[in-house]
This record gives sequence, C-alpha cells and structure tokens, in this order.
Amino acid sequence: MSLSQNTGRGRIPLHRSVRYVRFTFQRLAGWLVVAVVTTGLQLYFNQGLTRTYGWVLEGLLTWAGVPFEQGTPDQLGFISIPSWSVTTFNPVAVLPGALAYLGAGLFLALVVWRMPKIPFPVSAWISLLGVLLVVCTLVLGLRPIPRFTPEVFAGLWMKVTVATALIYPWLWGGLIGVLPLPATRVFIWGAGAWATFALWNAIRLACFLALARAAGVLWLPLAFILGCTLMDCFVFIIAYSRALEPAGREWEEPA
Amino acid sequence: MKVVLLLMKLYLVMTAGILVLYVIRHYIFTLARVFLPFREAYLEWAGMAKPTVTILVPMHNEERVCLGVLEALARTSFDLERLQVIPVDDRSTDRTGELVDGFARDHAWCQPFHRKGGLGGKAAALLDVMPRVKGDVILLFDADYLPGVGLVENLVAPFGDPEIGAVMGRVVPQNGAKNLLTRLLDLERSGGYQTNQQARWRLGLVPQFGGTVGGMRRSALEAVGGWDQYMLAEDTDLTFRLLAMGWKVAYVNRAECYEEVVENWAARRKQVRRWALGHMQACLRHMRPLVANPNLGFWEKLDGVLLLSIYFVPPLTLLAWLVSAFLLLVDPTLFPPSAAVFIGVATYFTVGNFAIFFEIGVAIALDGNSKRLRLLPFVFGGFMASLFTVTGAAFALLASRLKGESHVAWDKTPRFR
Repeated sequence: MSLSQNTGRGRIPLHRSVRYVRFTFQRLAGWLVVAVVTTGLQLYFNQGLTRTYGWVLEGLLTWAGVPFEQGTPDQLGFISIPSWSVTTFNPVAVLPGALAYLGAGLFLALVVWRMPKIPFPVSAWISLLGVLLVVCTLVLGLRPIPRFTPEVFAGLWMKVTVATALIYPWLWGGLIGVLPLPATRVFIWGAGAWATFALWNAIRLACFLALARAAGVLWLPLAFILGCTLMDCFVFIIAYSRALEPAGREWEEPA
Repeated sequence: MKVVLLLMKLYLVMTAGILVLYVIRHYIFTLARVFLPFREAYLEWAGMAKPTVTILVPMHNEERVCLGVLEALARTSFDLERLQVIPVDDRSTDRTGELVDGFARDHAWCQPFHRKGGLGGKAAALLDVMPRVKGDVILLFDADYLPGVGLVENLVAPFGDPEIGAVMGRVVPQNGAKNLLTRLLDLERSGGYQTNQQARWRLGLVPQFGGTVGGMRRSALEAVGGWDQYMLAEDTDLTFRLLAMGWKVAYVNRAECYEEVVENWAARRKQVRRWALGHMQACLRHMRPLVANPNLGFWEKLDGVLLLSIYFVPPLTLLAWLVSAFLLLVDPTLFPPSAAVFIGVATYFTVGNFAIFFEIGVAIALDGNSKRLRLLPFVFGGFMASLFTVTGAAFALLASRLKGESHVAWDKTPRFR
C-alpha cells in the first residue's frame, strides 16, 4: 500500500501518523565536525573562558556587596578549575535556629501541600524545597561543622559547568543536528543555549554564595539539588523547543 | 555511620543506573521513530477480515458525555450488521441510564447494559457485561471519546493476523486548547503515542493496550482468564497476560480518537494517582512471570520490565535527591576523581533527563504543530507534580499491602464538557 496518494490534483500530504525522516549521514557528520571544532575551541581557550566566567561572577558579587575570596583552584583533566569562598555559618547549630528552620521546612512541606488555592505544580516545587530543608536541618543539627563549604560548593559547581559546556556541542549536534532543520537556526539556538547556560550558571552561583553568607551553609545542598540537576535541563529545553519550531510539514517522507 | 554512607552511595549509583536505562530507552525510541520507515498496523487489510464486533463503553455518571460517543459511533463506516454497541451503565446515579436507553430505542445495534451493584471500577463492570457480548472482537471506548468514521475498521484490521491478541489506537485530546494543563497533556499524549507507542510497535517490543481506543480478540481474552475486577489498571494487566500467553499487541498510530483530557490539577492528580496505583499493582503481579517467561526474547522482556516499573522511578528519584542532599553535607566527595567519569556524571545530572523532552519535541514536530513546542519547557512543572503524586501513590500501595487489602479504591475522572 502506498503511504501517499496522487489523485490527479497534486499529491495529498501524508497523514501525520506515517511521517518519518530520512537519515542522512552527511548531516550527522557535518554536525559532529562542528562539535569537534567547538569543543576543541573550548579546550584551547579554557583559561580565557573560565576567567571570563570568573569576571562575571565576581562582578555580580561585588555589585551585590558580597565580600568573597579566591578559593584553592582544582583540576578537571588539564583544565584549571577556579573556586571562590565566602564566610558562612551554620544556622541550625543553636536550638532556636534549628527549630525555626525545621518549622519552616515542615510548614512548606505539609501546610502548602494541602492549600487548595495554590496550583499543584507550584505546591510540588515548594514541597520539595520544604522536604530538602528538613533533611538539611536534621543533618546540620547532628553535624554542626559541615564539610560542604561554599568553597567546595563553588568548585563542584564549576566542574559541573565546565563538563557540561564541553559535552554540550556533542549533545546538540547528535540529537538536534540529525533532524532536518535549517543549519543556521540549529547553530544560533545552540550557541545561544550554551551562552545562556554559562551566564545563568554564573548568576546562580553568585546568588548561592550570597545566600550562604547571609543565611548560612544550609542552603548550599538545596541550591545544588534544585539548581544543578533541574534548572540546567530547563534552559536546554527552552533552547531545544525554539530550535525545533520550524519543523513540521517538511518532515514528510520524500515522494 | 560509614556503613550508612556506603549504602547511601550505593543507592545513588543504583538509582542513577536505572535512570540511565530509561534515558537510553527514550532516546532509542525517539531516534527509531524519526528515522525508521513507518510500520503500518495492517491497515492494508482494513475491510478484508469480517469479524463481528462488540463495542463496550463503560459509563459511570456520564450524563454530560454519554450521547457524544454513541452519536459518533452511529456514523461509523463499519457494517452495522456485524456491530453490537453496549453502553455499560455502571451504577450511575445521574441520567446516564435514561439517556442511553433513549438512544437505544432508535438504534437497534445499541444494547445498553445496566449494572446496579457490585465492585466499583472499569474491570468489574466489564466482567459483568461479558455474558452479553456477541462479537469475535471487543473494542473499548471511554464515555468521553469521540471515535471517527473509519476508526472501527482501522482498529479491527490487525485482527486479520492470528498472532494479534489486542490492538491499541492513538488518543488525541479534543479540548487541548482549553488551558495550560490541557495543552501540556496534549504534548504528553503526542510523545506517548506518536513517538513512544509507535516506536515500540516498530521495534517489535511491547506496545501497551491502554484500555480505550483499542480492543482484543474475545478468544484471547477468554484464554487469559478474562477481566480481573481487583486490578485498577486492567489495561496493563491484560497487556502482560496476553504477552505471557504469546499474543502480540498491535499499535495503530493512524487510528486516532479524540478524548477529553482533565482540565484542572486536582482531577489530574487523582488520575495520575489512579494510573500509578494500578500500574504498580500490575508490576507486582507480572514482573516475575515476565522475567521467567521462556517464550519472550531478551528485548521484549527488557522493555516489559521497564514498562512495568516506570511508576517506581519517581519515588526512587525523589529519595535519591534527599539522599544526595544528606551526602553533600556529610561527605561532599560524591564524584569520582577521574575527569572522564566526572564529565559523564555531570552531563547526566544536567541534561540527561532531557530524553523525555526530546521524545515529546520530536512527536510534536512529526504532528506538524510546531508552535506548540514553545510550551515544552512547561512540561517540567507537570513532571514535578507527577513526581509527588506518584510517590504518594507508592506509599498508599505499600500501606494497603501492609494492611493486607486485596485491592485499592477507584476514583472516577470528572468530565468537563
């Protein structure tokens, strides 16, 4: 059975259920070359890129009036990973603080969860924050001197940022580059997503360090779990959805 | 303390491994759907096989929608001489029974069945109506569905193949433009059917019979023991009982049927909770027989195991986040020192979970409604909501098992038409 029909009045477009895309090796190979080049450029200019990131971060901290110091640099392969440090404190080391945080966490996790007026996805996010707050309060209450300092946090955050930025072109090229989309659009949205990801990470790191100084070390794991594992994916999805937008009828199998 | 930390780290590694399996699965499905030539589900056979067909439409307080589905079925291109439609009025306390009786007076093929008592739930109602069923093939539609003219013929066509025990069509929301939630559900349905189900059918894995817009051979249903009224997800249960007996489930992507998706978060929460409870119940029942079945291939078994276990992933993930928060404070050396391994782990944590969005994005592009892609990031909110609902359902199932209860309560989905 033919999947498309010619009725004499021109070819009827294929039903959306039977569309698929012809795989072209050239398209994949082309984008993998782009990935090799862009990753290579990142590796070659790694010092300049991390320094630029550092300037942005330090500029944000200075602008916000948060005193900070350079941390001990670490290595990821041959790439030097910078770190930053701020003075912090354990807000639950004393009983009133512990009770306040525990109470706030339980309030968020339990009361907000049951409030009917709040849209369910919002209450789910707030509940997650509340549950994480309770876990962190309990851990820090039992272990008043945490090993997860702002400096460790910043180093880990930077490592994740660098690793993701390096592998990013491969994901973009391998998953989106293979689809039949205009090359300029894929490149522009890919580069935009990469830059947004880096800037967004710098802004968040500045916020988290400021929060660690003002509200204590308690917030660092929350920032890592909520910020790192979820929000980067969010930036990527926004860029992906916009890059894919022109796809549609052109995805039909050629006649 | 060291033992506890070690166990926590092992838990994180195990959870990451499970999640990676699902990520790979979604990528394979999406790429297979995009690039592999389409596999029609026997549509070239449409009209050749001439089985008698019974359409069952379970209805519990469906006065707002019950006539819609019957009027849509009245326009079917299928031979009415071979068709029996049974609206199953299941303990309705509204005007459902009266409305379907009125409709049946003008349509001889419509033979309502009124159920006055017994257990709640779709499976229980279907079990009671079986003695009235005359067709060789049984099709099911929920009361809010609007089947198109050629749909019955398309769904019946695969039964020309004696290996096919059940068939599943594609569900498309008709009220997708109502609000943000319905738009997001529209995206989810696209990903689930246009990409996921179609890829599973194309790759010879395990397409799932979804309990509506589909059906089964009556002899196959009888051979596997009929409906189990204690199963909340009678569709998943039937899929795996058929699979165990050597039957295949065909997926017909072109057999599209409109449905009404829920329009508020409270109803959505109840729906997801019901699906999760039923699916987990089916998992506990079928996991071991599935793995031990000597007649299934490795990939079918793997896909079946991942399909059955899917609702256990959210509680695992949520617990992993809490364990991660704990470990970060107590022992921040979570990641191994090797740069290559670190890059892999970091990438997984940041964009690894993108797989499901890739699947939905490709489905929307294949559907040709690419403006809808702008809503894709909002699926994230729905994902978080489901995470908590499914985790709650897992605890509810655990509690009911500890109390020794044999079945879990059934909630009806509200209608909005």
